[in-house]
Parts: sequence; C-alpha cells; structure tokens
Amino acid sequence: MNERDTVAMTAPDWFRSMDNAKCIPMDVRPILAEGIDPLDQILAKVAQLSPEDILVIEAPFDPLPLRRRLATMGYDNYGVALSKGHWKVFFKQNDICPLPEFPDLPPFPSTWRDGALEMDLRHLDPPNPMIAILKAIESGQGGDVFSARLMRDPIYLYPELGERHWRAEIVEDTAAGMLVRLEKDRET
Amino acid sequence: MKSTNFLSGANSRLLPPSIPFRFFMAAMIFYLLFWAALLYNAEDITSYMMGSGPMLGTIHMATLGVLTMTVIGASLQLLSVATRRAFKAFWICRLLSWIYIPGFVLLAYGMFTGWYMGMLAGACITGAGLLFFFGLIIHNIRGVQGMAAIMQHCWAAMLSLLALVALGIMLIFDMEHGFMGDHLAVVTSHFILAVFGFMSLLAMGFSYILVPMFALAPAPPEKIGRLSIACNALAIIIMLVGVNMYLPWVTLAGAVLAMGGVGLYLFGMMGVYRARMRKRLGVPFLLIRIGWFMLLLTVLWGGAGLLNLWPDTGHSLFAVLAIIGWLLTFLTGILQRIIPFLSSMHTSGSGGIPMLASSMADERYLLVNAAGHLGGLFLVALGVLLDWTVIIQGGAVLGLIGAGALLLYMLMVVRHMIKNQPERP
Repeated sequence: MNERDTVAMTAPDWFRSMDNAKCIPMDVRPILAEGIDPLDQILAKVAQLSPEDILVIEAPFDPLPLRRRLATMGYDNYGVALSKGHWKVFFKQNDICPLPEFPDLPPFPSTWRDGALEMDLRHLDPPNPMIAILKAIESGQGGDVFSARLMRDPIYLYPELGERHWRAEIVEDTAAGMLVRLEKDRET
Repeated sequence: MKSTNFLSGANSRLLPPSIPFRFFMAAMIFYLLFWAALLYNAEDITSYMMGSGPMLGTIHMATLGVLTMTVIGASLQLLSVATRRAFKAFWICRLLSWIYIPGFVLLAYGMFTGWYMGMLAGACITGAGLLFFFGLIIHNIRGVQGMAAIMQHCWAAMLSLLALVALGIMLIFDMEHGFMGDHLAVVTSHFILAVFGFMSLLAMGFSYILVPMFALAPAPPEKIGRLSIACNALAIIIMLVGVNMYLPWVTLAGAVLAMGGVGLYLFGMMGVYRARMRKRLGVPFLLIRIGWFMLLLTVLWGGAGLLNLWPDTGHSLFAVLAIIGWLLTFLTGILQRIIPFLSSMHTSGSGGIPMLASSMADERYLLVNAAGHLGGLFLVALGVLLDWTVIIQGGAVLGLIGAGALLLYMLMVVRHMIKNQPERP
C-alpha cells in the first residue's frame, strides 16, 4: 500500500502532491545495525539535495533528533510509521519561508528553528538589531512569530512594536545574550 | 504572552524618568531664558568679544544651560542602554543634577551681574558637576566592546570637556588677576573645545545611534564614523595649536580637516536619511536637517573668517551659526523626538503596551517651537550680519515664543506620563 493512502488528511500539501521521481531514498537501518551513527552521511546527502528533492529516510524508529536538526536547516518533515520497527520520514526544503535578506544591514546569521525564524543579532551594533527586527516585521519575512538573539535589551524597540501591534517577551537572559520572542498581537 | 511582561527587563535598564527629565526640563527653562536674555542684550551681540557681563551669561545660558543640560540627560539614558552598563546608583545621577544645576544658576547670575566671586564659585561648582559627569561617562564607556566610532566620539568629547572646564575657570580667574598673556587666544580655545570639541562631538557621536533609531534606518558604515572623528579630533588639536601659536595657516589647515570630518559625518547621515523606513519624520527632523545644514555653513563661515573674508560682525555671526544654528537647532530637534519617545517608555496604555508618542501631547506645539526657533535663528543671523538691533530683537521674540511652546509641550508630556505610570508587579 502506498504510504500516502495511509496518512491522515493533516499531512502537508507537499507530501500529498509529491512526485515520486523527486524522492531520494536513504535507508539507514543497515548503517544503524552496524552500530554507526548515520548523521554525517545524511547531512552529506542533504547538502546534495535540490530545493525540489524530497529526502526519504527509512529508520527503525522515529528519528526525532534528526527531524529537529533538519528543521533548523529549513526542512519541513513528515513521518509515517509503516510498522512497529519501520519508519519513513520525508524531508522537503521549506520553500515558503526563505531566510530573510537585508542587504543594507551588516550580515548576521539566521535560521529556521521549529518552523519559526530566529535571527542572531548579537554582533550588530545598535540600532541595527532593532532595524533588522522591524524590517523582518514590515517585510513579512518573519511571519507572525519569530525570535531574535540580542546582546542588549531592545528597550527602544518596544514603542515601535506597540505602534505595529506586536509584542516582545524575553524568554532567555544569560551572559551570552538574550532570546526575545516577538509575536503579532492577536488581541488588536 | 502576558502584557505585564512587555517591559520586563526594559525597566531594569531605563533610568527612572525623573533623572533624564530633570535635565531636559532644566534645559527647556534655560532655553526660554536664553532667548529672553538675547532679547534683553540684543544691542551688545555684535560688539561682544570677551569679558564678563550679560552677553557672557547669555552665551553660557545656551551652552551650559541648554546644550550641556540636554547632553547630560540624553547621555545618561542612552549610554546605560547602549553599553549594557546601567547607572545602577541612581543617587549619583541625582547628585550630579544637584551640583550642576544650582552651580550653573550661580555662574550665570555672576556672569550677568559681573559679580566676580559669584562667577568663580559658580564656575567651580559647575566644573565639579561636569567633572562628576566626566567620571560617570568614563566609568560607563571604559572597555566597551563594539560601537567603536561612538565610543571614540565620547572619549574625544570627554577629554575636550576636561580641558574646557580648566580653561573656563582660569579665564574667570584671569578677569580679576590678569595673569594670562593672551586672554583672547584662551577664550578662542575655550570656545573651540566647548562648541566643537565637547558638544559637537557628542552630538555627532550620538547621531550614529539616535538618527538611525528615529528614522528607522541601518546605521552608517562604522568606518565613516571612525574617519570622521579622526579628522575632527585632529582638526581641533591643529586649530588649538594654530590659535595659541599665532599661526593662521595652521588654524586654516585644521579648519580644512574639520570640513572633511563634518563632510563625512553629513555623508553618513544623508545615507541614513535616504535608507529610512519611516517616511514621514515630522517636525523634529526638519530641525535636525536644518541643524546639519547650519553645521556645514558654520564650518564654511569659519573658513571664510580664517581667509579674512568676514565683515565686521563676522565673529558674532560665527557664534550664532555654531550655537543657535547648528547645536541648538539640532538638539532641539532631538529633544522634540526624544521627550515623547522616552516618556512613552514610562507609560502604559491599553494592554500594557507603551502609549503612542503622538498621543501624549498636542504636536502643534512642536510646530510652533520649530517656527519660532527657525524664525528666530534667521532674524538673529540677519540682524547680526546687518548689525541691526531691532531685527535681532524680533528674532529673539520669535525664539522666545518657540521656546515657550516647547516648554508647554514638555509639561503636557510629563503630566501625561505621571498620569499613566505602568503598574509595577
């Protein structure tokens, strides 16, 4: 039976409409059986994928750490349990949320983490972190929820967020900086 | 996400509003008094060169009363956030105001009345306040990583402050004891250090944060700021050497270098202006942009003076362009923007979100302030150029009306801020 017939209607569109010719299979069960961690081989395979390709990993369990890892690299995933010791997990490059680009700001790292944009703005001097956040909001590239890693409490950002009906919450504050979660205000 | 969390953390880095606002309020009052003093002394402005008297008091009403007061309030708030080193001992910041503001009142009174002992005591107390400020800022910026251009501006400005305080007190001492060989050269040095070294460098340095922040634009490339401060700091040193060693060509070389530094600064600011996300910047940026134009005009007019191209009243016009045209216009624009912005940070509207700056007071007062200030500037400059007292007086009246409007605006904002204090958990 085709696995697409077995899944619930909640499966992502890309999975339900995927072209089998674009699937790149990789069965890691024999590798794991030899006691080898297949992560490096998977990442090497991922590096060769084109945006349309779908990586199909077959594993003896649901590979949650791998799913999280590739999610931070911009890959959507969908897993199907074919039997008790046989999982197939499909990975597709996230093509609806490309990483934002701000050519007029100094470069900074950003990534997709658990489906949300995370910008690391710790190495930018003020007020550039604030400008990057506002650009992500105004361009819509950050979606309705995203986060930013900052070295400074962005206090001058708050009135600007208020005017745009956005909110901020410091979710982590350590010596290495703070993680600020930004969310569109749904109450307004 | 709870609304009460909105400013969590922010409050720990914001100074209590009473600290920056006491300096801003004092600056507004002295801004009003400055125009009043100018109206009263309009006749003397073109003939004044040096020495005590009402004109000396009028000049310092602008420099120490308005400009330095604004710079102190803004520095304390801005640096504590930018350097991530909050001024935790608030009593020190309050003590600074208790030393500096009464000290300046005594100094200004001494200058206006020609009361030597009052002037000397006032200068010593004001100088102590400024040294206190120097210590606070140096403690804050020492060893800061990043923001190299801004930190270099701060360092250069603070070193200028040290020198200008020493020269200022010596100049007052010299009025009574006459120990200086050339009082005018020291007056000129004091003017260069105060207007261009201390206040202009701080205004330019903070521009690299404040202007992009208010216009919502990326900061200019750091190398522009670093090159600009290098040119300006070197220019000040060269001009001081030229003035004190009676070498006009050296002073001119310094002025040319200053033109380069100012040109780089303005180039960076124009880049910010073009890249801004906020398209309508309102009245404050009208003042800020005219301030930039006046800075350029000041440097060019200074260069013309060094080439002996000034009319008889050229030196007075130079002071008007530098103090009223560049510094007062620019800092009034910054104050117009920073007062509602900071106060909105200390208020809580619905849902715990800071109130809109535009909802805190009637912004038409800002328009009256800008019109009065710019009309005053134009008429005072014209009156000085033509040596026509009535025109200067007309300008002072306009400036007085504008200053009154800004003071009223500030009072309304503060009243709103007090009424809408956020609930503390």
